Amino acid sequence: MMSIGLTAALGVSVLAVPVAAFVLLALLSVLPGRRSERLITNLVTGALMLSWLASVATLVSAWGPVTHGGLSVPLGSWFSVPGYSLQTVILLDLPGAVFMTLTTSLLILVAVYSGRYLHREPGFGRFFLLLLLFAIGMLAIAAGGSLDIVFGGWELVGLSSALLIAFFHLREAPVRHGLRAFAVYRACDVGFLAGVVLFHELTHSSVFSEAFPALREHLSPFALNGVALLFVLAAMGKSAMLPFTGWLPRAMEGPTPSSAIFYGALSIHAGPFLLLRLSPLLEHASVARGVVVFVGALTALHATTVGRAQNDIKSKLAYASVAQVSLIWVEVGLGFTTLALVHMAGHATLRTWELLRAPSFLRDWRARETLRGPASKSVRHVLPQAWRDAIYRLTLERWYIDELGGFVVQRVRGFLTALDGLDRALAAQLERAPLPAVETVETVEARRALEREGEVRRGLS
Amino acid sequence: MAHFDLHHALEHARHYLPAQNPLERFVHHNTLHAFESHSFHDALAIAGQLFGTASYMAESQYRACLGTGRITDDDLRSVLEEGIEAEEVLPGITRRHLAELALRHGVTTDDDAAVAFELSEGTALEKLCPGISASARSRLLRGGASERDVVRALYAAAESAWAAVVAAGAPAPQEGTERPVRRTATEDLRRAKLIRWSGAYLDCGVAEWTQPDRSRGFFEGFRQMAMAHGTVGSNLLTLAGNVARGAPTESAEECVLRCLTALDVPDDERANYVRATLLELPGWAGMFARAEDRPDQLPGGDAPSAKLLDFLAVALLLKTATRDIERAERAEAATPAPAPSTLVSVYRLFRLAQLLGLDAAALSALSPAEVTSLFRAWDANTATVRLRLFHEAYERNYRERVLDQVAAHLAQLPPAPSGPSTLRARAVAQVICCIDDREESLRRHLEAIDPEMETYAAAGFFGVAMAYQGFREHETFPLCPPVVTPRHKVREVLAEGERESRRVSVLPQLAKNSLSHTLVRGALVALGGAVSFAPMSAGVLAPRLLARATGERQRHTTRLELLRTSEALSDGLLVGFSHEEMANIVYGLLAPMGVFDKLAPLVLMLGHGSHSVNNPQSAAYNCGACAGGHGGPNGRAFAQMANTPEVRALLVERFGAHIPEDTWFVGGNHDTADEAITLYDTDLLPETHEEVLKRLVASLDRARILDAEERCKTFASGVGKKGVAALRHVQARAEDLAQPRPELGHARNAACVVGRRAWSRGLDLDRRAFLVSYNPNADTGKLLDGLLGAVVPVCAGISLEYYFSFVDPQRYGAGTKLPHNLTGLLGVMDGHASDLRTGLPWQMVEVHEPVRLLFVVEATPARLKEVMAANPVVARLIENEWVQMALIHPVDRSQYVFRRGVFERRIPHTPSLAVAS
Repeated sequence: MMSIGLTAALGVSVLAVPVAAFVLLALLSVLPGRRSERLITNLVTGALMLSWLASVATLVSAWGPVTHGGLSVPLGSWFSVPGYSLQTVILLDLPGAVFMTLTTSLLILVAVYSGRYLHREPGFGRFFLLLLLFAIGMLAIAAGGSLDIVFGGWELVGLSSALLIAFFHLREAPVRHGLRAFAVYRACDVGFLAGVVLFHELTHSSVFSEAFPALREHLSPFALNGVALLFVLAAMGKSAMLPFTGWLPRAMEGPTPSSAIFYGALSIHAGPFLLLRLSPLLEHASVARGVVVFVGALTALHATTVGRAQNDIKSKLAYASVAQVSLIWVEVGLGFTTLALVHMAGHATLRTWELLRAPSFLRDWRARETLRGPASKSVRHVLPQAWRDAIYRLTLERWYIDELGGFVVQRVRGFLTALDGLDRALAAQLERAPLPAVETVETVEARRALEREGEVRRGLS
Repeated sequence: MAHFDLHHALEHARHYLPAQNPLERFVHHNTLHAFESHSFHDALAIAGQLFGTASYMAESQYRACLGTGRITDDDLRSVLEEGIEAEEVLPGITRRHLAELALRHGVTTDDDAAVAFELSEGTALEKLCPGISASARSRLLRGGASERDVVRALYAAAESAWAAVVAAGAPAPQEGTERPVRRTATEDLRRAKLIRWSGAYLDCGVAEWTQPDRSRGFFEGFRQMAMAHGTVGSNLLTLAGNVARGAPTESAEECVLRCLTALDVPDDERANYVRATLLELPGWAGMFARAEDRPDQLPGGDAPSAKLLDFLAVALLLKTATRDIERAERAEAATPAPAPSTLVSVYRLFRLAQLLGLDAAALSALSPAEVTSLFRAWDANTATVRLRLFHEAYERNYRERVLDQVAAHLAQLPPAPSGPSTLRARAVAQVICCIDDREESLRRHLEAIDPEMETYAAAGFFGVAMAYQGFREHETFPLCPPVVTPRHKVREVLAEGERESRRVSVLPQLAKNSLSHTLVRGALVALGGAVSFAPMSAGVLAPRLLARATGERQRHTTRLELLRTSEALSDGLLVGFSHEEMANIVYGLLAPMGVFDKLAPLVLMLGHGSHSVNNPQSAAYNCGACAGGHGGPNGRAFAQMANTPEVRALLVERFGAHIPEDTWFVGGNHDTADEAITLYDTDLLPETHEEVLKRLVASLDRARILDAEERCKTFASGVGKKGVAALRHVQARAEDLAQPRPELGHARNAACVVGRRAWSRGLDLDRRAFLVSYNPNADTGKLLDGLLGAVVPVCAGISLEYYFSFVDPQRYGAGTKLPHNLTGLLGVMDGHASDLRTGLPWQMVEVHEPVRLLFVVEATPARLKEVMAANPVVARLIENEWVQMALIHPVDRSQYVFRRGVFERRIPHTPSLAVAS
């Protein structure tokens, strides 16, 4: 039987070991010269192994009486200002422990895989640094005992995700698509941030163990649903639910293992996990749950139709992932938390495996053909050609959600430009003076050229 | 005004597209095959201009070779003497001298900012230029002034000299750096749209839903769907639909012409415009062209009918649709070219003066005209000139080393026999391999292990051009060089008396399924998905063990259905071969080797292939002579043919060629990735041969371990592995999901030796040489013509594909494998939506040394000229210097090298005392 102290120590070390490894690796990477690949891989894998051991121990203890129903471990407050203090709290419970174990086990495999896969690739160290950053983020989401900690993890996951999509930063497309994912994350994180602030405002705490029991007493259904919907928005972005699905197939620009761990396995499940964490809140927010079910169901339909028209294996797997994640959303919305947890763990594992072997698809296809014989392609079409054309066009164009995004961005930009114009006009009115001339690129270059000439002259004399 | 002929233009443009097959049928070919009518260096310049590609390694890479000795002073001097005239520019300064300085020190291409930084922050005004020659240094410092003063005086002199030049009104031309034109946002969207629609159309089995009614063709289907498209915001299909509705019944050809008019392309520009449009997405356009030419090569049997014209029409439709938007964007994006600046010119003169050892006084003494001509001569060493010279030196280094090595090896041997016999008595066993460079080491080790064994080599399809259908397979695969269309079908069937078991291992099949891709089935699979943790961790942590546990085992005894029993066609192919055809095949292969009368009791026909997991390009590691398939079935078929008594009788009758009574042929396959050697039909072996087979197998077992050891030296994780550990290492590489380099393929290939094994035996060519067996004494007629006619284009194709994928991995090659994304079962894209990546991935070529293949042929210059006269393809490759050609005289063993149109006698260095390295 584990004591509370030991359990707490284990829980803390799940997170602390990768943080230490990250700091060490970051320090190493600022030293001049090249680091050996083996050193980097061993450091990262070793840290993840320790973290895994601690996760498993936590998982075992989660069934025991000590942590039954969740053990909240306060580690003191980071800082305080009047009316608010940022509490460092770790929550050890069954869903969290499952997610921690899942995270560390898959990450170990991906780290070992990447050590060989990325051999001699420029950016080897950067990849592992970002992988650790991601691990820290995921573990913070899993083990965070307060919304503040979870938010921190959430942001780290988003950042590392965007940076790994843009891993091949010398080409244009990865950078553009990384930026796109980042923009979607940021837009949706508005929901998270606003949610945290409102939540704290209403319950006077962001620590789960303190805030949740207080929920029912203090809040009107209106407020509960409002706060819950903000968090749902945040989760929609991370899980690529409609209407944000567009970034996901584009995220397949990084090396195969990072695509596997982020979009097959972990990052994409962070959304439903957040909803699981907030299930006491959702319990009282029936409108928000309805939205979760609706969004999940609609996305499931979207992903499964669009996925069928994808002709490259990584996009196909991306849509297959979203399809399952949206089912998990439905399960969460309906309150089947255990089912959702099992579905999540099973799906994450399976999809990682599939993405890691995505380059084998041709070989596997050939093996299937040999075994089965050519599939009979004569499908009786009941629909008229024009309808089939229309359906196909809709799926190949991905339900036009990119155009929708473009439309929204344009409107927002138009609105902001108008605001900016208004702002300038007002400022000019206030100052009753013309605005200072803006330095253009040409004038800057001309000025610099003159300065350089001068410097050379001075150097000569 | 020239009339524009679309079909002509399209045919012309087709040649510039990559001719790469679908992945399963990957065959090496010269990336610049379309340019072979030009000489090598000219072709590279033209292609570089057209495709925006690099033609050589980076200058810094060559310059680094000067430091490592990979290019010696001798090499540099030799190419400068050949390539640059010794004409004096100024007294004591020749063009050749200037070229050498440009090679050794480079030409600064710094812009204003970099020069200013160097002058104000660097040591340029403190110290002499680093690395200048000792003589230049002593000349500059002879006045006794401090280094700093000398340098500053020189800079001032350069300033006034340049001012004088400018005043005289003749500034020297400068090497400008062009700024590449950036693609606009709409252009990117347009390309992405074309990629999505053309990729979806060509898909051969990834998507569940393909375009409805693909028999309409790509253009017609796209057009109809675009025309029926409503208005959806910024969607390009809306715009394309608007254009298409302008002529609702037009054909693809009419559409192209209408779009060209709408795009304001004048008649005489149209051909170029068509080509440029296709070259915007060369990979996809090329795949349309391939699918049109060879629909039989698409996988899946449900191939869409593809036309390059359709692709062009859709591309132009989209281009017309976005014409106005793109023009507006272009106008915004246009940037003026940078003007040459005084600062840079002065700095260049200042630096050049140091390299030449001209001090301030000497520089001031030059007239403006002299400075101008000095600059002209200096600028004549353009990047192209420098790279050509460097590359020639780089190739010369290898050529000299190998030819000296060969000469030294030959000098140890007794004089060449004049008769058709070899040095030894009859061998115990012979192994006939593919000419592949990867078999060089296996042969070398085998011969060293058992001196009574001999090896030979021929193109790995062994003359058996067949469409092969393996046991349980539903499609045939051509096992012959890609230029040959097989006319014979050969099936692998159960041996008589065997019963087929339908039992299949469930576990490996489960992993290969894609049940989880759909919603409902996917959910059921995913709920139990945690189970997949077991194979995943095993696959990542212990790939070799997982492969052994789940591998498919051969459970059936099979035979090849080789003899034709009826003239009925199956899928347009004859089923099997007649005895006469077999006899021709056997004679055609064995005759050039001159081996008939000394065939050993046991002859192994060893084809080769390679297997690896998680490797879309795995066919590129297979046998090139078998169109990217495994050569094992060819060896097996050949052995069966040569063992047939009727065939042996026909050989005697037709060609007077006797195969000894007691000679027995066995077919086999060598897996170049995991070093497995499989033998076929050994149950048919006569009892008398069992002992010798045992001996051969034992020697091969030892040889493949040594081969694995030799290969392990080139793998970072395999260095130092010996014996069985080495074998295990290469086996694990083949099965490892995380391994982008299961083997190194043809990387580092550099030579091709055509001649008797008697003299190349024992010569360590470091797995870098193709080896072709050819006995000049047995060649009474045209044997060499046929041999080189096949070998030169094939080996040159392999070598040149590696060359180009290495020198420009981004545009000629496929780039790094890591973001590759298998598309439509046809090719790979980078990530989400890119052009199809053709060429070889970086992981395959990164250890390569880009040199043109050096042929070393045992023939007289006169004989080779006959071959060239008879075979224009071979002649073109040699005369246009796409390959290097050296000859060893069959009798006196003197060497000749083909240079500038003639065979020059070459005198080897260090003739007799050298020890072969």
